[in-house]
Amino acid sequence: MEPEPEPFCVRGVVKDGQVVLSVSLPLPDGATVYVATEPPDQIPGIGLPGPMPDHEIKKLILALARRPDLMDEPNWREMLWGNRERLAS
Amino acid sequence: MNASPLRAGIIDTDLLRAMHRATNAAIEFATNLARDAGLRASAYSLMVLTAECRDDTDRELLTLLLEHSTIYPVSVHISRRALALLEAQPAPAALSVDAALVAATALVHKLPVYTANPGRYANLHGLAAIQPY
Repeated sequence: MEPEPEPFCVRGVVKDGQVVLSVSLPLPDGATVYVATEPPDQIPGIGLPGPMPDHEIKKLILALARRPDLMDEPNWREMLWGNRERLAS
Repeated sequence: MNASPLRAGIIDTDLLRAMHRATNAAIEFATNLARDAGLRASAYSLMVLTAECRDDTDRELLTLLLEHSTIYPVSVHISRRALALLEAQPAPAALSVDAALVAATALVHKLPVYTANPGRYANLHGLAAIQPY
């Protein structure tokens, strides 16, 4: 039996009566979701848990780095930081 | 050669501020953490940074950061835990309210804290403070 997925809560805005989310949900087509105007108390954190998809990382990091000009660059990491090894934990 | 994947953890207010202000090392760390485990922060840190925003661009970037992070509300349980951390300090407490709330959030959710200054969280039993760069 498949384990129950970890509950999560994401933020959205209403446009013309429809909820528009800022991220794609990691749920299959046909999954039932519920919409509330306030986060339910039992949700530990608001936002998608776990690693972020590459395209979302790129959108966020280039905005924070004030480098939207690199949005179409596949090698944006190297262009920001060169070829240094990634930081250790 | 790649290092081990980063663990999930709460980004403290100072480190979140460094990301928001485009400090190069902080943004590079955010990139790696987002890829390995996702970004997590206390709602208190976001309140602090929201109050510090200087213009609409600052607000827009903070909103974007919020939308790409898991934000942990300051629950009753976390507030009590933070108060207990402060009360356990000899007066005057060396621990700030900010650090107490971030530490309590991490302890309640069983996560480490990512911080540029691990000394802020010294002597807090059960809390792992990780300096990422």
